[in-house]
Amino acid sequence: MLGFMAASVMVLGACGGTDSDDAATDDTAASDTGSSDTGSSDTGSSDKPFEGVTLKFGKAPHGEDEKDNWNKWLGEFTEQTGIKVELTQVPWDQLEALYTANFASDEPYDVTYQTSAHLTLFGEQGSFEDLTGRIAGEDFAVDRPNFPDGVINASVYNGKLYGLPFVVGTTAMFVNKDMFTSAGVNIPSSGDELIKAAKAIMKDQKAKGNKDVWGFYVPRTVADYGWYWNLSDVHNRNGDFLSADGKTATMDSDAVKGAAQYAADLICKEKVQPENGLYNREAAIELFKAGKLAMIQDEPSRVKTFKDEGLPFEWDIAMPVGYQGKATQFATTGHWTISAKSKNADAAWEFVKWLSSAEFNSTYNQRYGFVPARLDADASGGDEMLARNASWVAVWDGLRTSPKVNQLLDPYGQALEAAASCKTSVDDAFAKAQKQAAEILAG
Amino acid sequence: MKVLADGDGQDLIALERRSSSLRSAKSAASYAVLVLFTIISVGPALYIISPAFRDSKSLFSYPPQWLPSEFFLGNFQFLLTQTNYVRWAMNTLIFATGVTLIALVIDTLAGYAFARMQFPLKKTLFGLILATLMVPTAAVLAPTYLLVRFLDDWTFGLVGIDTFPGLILPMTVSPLGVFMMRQFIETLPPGLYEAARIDGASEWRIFTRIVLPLMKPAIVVLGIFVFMLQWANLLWPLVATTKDETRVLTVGISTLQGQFVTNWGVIAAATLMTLVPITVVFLFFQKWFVQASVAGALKQ
Amino acid sequence: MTTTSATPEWAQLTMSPDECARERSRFRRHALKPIIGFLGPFLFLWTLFLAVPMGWATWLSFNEGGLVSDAKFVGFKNWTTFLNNDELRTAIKNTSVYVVVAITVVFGLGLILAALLNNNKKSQNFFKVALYFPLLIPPIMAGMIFFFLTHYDMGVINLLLQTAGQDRVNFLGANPNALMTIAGLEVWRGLGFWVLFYLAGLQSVPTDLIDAGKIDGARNTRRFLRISLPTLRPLMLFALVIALIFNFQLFDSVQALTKGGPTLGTTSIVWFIYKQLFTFQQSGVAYATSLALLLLVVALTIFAYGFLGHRKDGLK
Repeated sequence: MLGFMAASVMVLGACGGTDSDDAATDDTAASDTGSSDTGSSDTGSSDKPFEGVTLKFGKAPHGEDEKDNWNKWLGEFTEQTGIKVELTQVPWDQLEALYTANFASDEPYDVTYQTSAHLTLFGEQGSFEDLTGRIAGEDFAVDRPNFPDGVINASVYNGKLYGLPFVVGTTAMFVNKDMFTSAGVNIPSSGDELIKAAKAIMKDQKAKGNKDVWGFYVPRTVADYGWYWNLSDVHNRNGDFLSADGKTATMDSDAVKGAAQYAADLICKEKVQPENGLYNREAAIELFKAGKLAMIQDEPSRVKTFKDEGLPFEWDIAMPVGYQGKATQFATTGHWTISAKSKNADAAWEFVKWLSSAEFNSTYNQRYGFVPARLDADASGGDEMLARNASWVAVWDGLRTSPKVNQLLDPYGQALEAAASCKTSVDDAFAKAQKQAAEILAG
Repeated sequence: MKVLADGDGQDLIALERRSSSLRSAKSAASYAVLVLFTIISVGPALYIISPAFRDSKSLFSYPPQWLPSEFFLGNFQFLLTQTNYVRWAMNTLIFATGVTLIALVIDTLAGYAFARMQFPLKKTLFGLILATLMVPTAAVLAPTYLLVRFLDDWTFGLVGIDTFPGLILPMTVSPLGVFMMRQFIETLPPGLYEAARIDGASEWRIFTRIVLPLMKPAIVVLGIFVFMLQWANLLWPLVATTKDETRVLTVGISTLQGQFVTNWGVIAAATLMTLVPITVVFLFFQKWFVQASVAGALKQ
Repeated sequence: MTTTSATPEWAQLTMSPDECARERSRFRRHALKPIIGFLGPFLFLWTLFLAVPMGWATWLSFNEGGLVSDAKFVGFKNWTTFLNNDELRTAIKNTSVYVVVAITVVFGLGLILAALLNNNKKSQNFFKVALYFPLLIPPIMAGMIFFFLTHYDMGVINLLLQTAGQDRVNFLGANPNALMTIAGLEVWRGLGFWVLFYLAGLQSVPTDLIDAGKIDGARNTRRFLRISLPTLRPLMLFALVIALIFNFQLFDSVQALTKGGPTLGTTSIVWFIYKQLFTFQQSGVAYATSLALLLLVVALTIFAYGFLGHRKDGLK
């Protein structure tokens, strides 16, 4: 057995050698054609220096119609620059598997879309080019001031910027206004108000014969990324699950435990939210649409869906409630990256600049409902709700960066889920998470 | 019944008559069990029909709608006009059939070698192959991908990413198939071909004339098994293909799921459209399955 | 098993050292060619697409990184890390419970249904297709269908329970319900295959044996238990091994329905491996776990064959 393994390793060693040699020849071949293309285009039009270059582009979709839209958008880009782009749609559930294989090869996608957690995860393994130099360059001088420093800095790890922020997430609380009017309560702005309003609405609805109405829902399970929806409350309590330098875990801090306790109380003590796991996120959205739920925290991309479908009651979005009057927004950021192994990095940068432009950003987000990472893009398309959602970026506080953030969010999510299941105390759950996190950071 | 026609004993016929009412009650009961399991098997799929024909992106509605209240074809239209659905479906067939055919050939041959031929290091080799019996696809995903990329240069693009050989070949290797075939051949009565071997028939002749016809049931079972696995395979086709020209249904459908909002109507429609042709194919081959297994049984 | 019967015959053919030597050279001249012909295609593809990647994975299990980043040799560190991992222990427990439940149910039902179908020749085709139907549904969609089925308000099961005046069940949000729901999904999907499998087996039971049973006046059930079932034993042994191998790889339905939750209640071994390998980029830990899982299943296979196979010989 051992002999066989050793033999395989030797074979592999040989494979590896030839592989890289081959890649080197490919490399020169590619740059040869690249330069000859540049030469020919010099004689033609000088504003298409990358004419004939083909870029590989990997992106996970925000909607089922994305492929069709990209065909149109990429066509425009090719017309402008002469650069061809081949899009590969990456399914979200298998995203890490696909990128792991792809980034391990010599010819990865030149440009990809990456969310915060993946950006550093792959970036720190050397997959992406550090864009710090490029965004300080002359060709980006006009655009750079439009990107808030806070947003850019949130994506920097160890002084490196592995991707250019494109969209900033937000979360919104969707409210059934009819229910609020009926119960005579206002839309809550703090945690305590939320409990009171939810109870008042449940009582009012019950009196009117609607038995199965719930006050509030936000996912607390690992399957629905409980951590994602809970971190704003942790930030509201001036804390985080990880120190700013990404080196120390603070899972057992008062802020983390306070937020988890509030989450658990809504289900276990106040009983304004259904038992954990009874309804998953998608099922809860249906509850809301059916008028069986007064408030639900979810993605603002639902605004467009709800408007298209037309809900049978008055509804609105509101800022997710804060703690003692402090309300922040949490969500991850979406970035454009350039692969470190890209053979057409300069053409890729042209493409990234085009993707990040105010014009494209507006077009994309008017369809998919995210908040643009640059100030001069307008994704609302005149929609008042979306414009309000975009304004929440002012209080945006994103995810800590660390290559281990995916690993750390796991014990955090597990602890939150355990606490919200009403069987484990918050102290016990997060003491365990802290221990696991310390091991992860030490290992 | 054939036995009774021999007229060997009148008492047997009497016994048969007495128990016939009991027998019909029993067969009604067995029928009922079969019908129950048919409902359990097919019934849940009805859940797809309603969302597929509804002009809504949601999974369901309150109150539940078991049958579509409208006849909305937009989801199907979307799939046919705005995605490469037909191409995905064709690719899935090429992929799953290709893997199945190649796997059946190499597994049967190797199974025969391990069951009936003598050669040095046979046991060691078989042990090594068995040791790779259970490799999670996820574990060898990245190494296999890199290997196929590497083969791309060596085979002048014949076996590579975005090619059918590159997609199919790595999936044809299943130690389980060899194992199954070896076990099956070993259960065949050795007398059958020992005589032929003594007569000086070549291994190939023994294999094709004597063993292969007897193996039909096993081949059918292995074939269904391999096909079914590849039909549902997502991970390998996902990394091995980047373009719709070679992408398969499972990959295509999963690219229709958004990060946060998924149009379940489209996914339900896609499933429905997938189910219709595959069921027809299955029905078609179904007869052949029966014949094959019966033929195999009779020859024994 | 039968391998032992083949060896003595061969030994009888090679008697004297002279004959032995002649035999060997004859073997080289004549026998090697067909062996290469028979074994070559599989062996070539196996070496290329399984042995080489596995060897690679083995090497990486002693390293940190090595896929996306450069490999750094760390010795047995990954092997000791994963052994101490609580989540993996939970995963092993969950997977074992699942394997036992799923295999027991699917084998019991599969055998019963196959026996019923075997006696029901007329409508056999219809039922075969109906039972096989769930396997044609892609896993994503099968997950969605089960999500419907088990829904608290809409699911048929809960609606039936409600009609019967019983409490509704939280299928996916509580333990051990979630794992059992997943087992239910896998049984639902896989049952048709096992029915076909056993049916093929039952149909290859030599007809003279069954006729003999008929003459003896043995009843259907008795005939099934005394004649068909023992004949099916080797087939059931394959079935057990195949089912072990595939059920230990439980992954698709976990990803589609629960993502390992609630509170790790459905975390399976392969889900653990997948998470380590891709989500956390801890390839060393993932490969060490994969290899350990592989050894475990190979050991179980050998055990199944040693134990059950031996008993079968004893009965002969």
